Amino acid sequence: MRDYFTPGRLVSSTAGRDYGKFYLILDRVSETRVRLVNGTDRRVNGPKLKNIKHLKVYPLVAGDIAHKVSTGQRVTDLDVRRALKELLEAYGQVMPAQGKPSGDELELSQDGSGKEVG
Amino acid sequence: MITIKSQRELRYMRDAGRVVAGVLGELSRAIKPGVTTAELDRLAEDFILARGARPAFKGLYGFPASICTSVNEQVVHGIPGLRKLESGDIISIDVGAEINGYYGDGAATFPVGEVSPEAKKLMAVTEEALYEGIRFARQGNRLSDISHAVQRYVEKHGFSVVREYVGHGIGRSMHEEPQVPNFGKPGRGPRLKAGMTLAIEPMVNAGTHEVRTLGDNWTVVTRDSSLSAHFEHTVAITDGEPEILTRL
Repeated sequence: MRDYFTPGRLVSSTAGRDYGKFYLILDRVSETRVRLVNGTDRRVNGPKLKNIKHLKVYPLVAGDIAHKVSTGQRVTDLDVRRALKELLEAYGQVMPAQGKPSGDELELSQDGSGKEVG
Repeated sequence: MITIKSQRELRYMRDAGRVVAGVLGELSRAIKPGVTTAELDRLAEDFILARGARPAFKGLYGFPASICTSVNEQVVHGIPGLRKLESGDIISIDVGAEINGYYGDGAATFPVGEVSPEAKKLMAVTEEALYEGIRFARQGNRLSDISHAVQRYVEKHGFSVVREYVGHGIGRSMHEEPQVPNFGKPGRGPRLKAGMTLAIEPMVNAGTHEVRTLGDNWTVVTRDSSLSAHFEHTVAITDGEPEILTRL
């Protein structure tokens, strides 16, 4: 069985307060859980721990991140933001806001679900 | 139709190429007497999957494994199995990886333990022939300038190039147009443009250039059972120096 939960993979949340939000997988910590980053509010120093059950996987991988993680190089938040931006563009999604959210509209599009952010 | 790749497409192909180069690096350390080709296949597959890529050969035209392992007189498309490598063997590994829908393809021949001077020379000439071909992969040149450069280099050193199997365009699929033969007259074929991506892969035999296919319908061997080597890179044509995508 092929394991899709590898570093660099584009995923989105399907449950929880971050419903609809996009992340990249940083690494896998156990059979059921992965660490997620998006370079903005979930940084490499403070990744989100999430059950893989609550993730949707996409057929896109940030090759750069996958390479860095597997060779033990440091992944920076800038790497993550860049890779996430590019993959989302490739996937035809609305671009997430970069850096500090500046307006409601941008914040909503980053949330991805169109719901109010809690 | 020969496709021209955008910068983004080239980035994805670099990602795929880096995985391919990584596999070849990993296998070069694993290849030693006593290792079976199936073990190498397993190693390669794990490496590729761990990087979020997909082994592109598996299932391609029905091929049963993630890499091709061609030992000694086997030219290409050897199927990994229980064969144990012995000191003195040479083994050609051909790998393909796909990431985000884009492909990388590369190959190299490695010595197992201590090999004969003839085998060493064959491997060196094949690798140099590949780089000789890449030198001509420039915007404005014609496709067969690459082919001619490879053939001339190989034959100058007393070996022969395989005719039946050729390099290929690569990108959104493993095999795209155009075909890239390793022989022929210069100045023929389509003109090369920046953004084209080619898999250039000389297969060089120590004896005759003739080959035949074994009963498994995959493994290609030299007709006179002489040794054969195979080196390959995925190369992007640019407006300057060609870029080798399958290099770390």
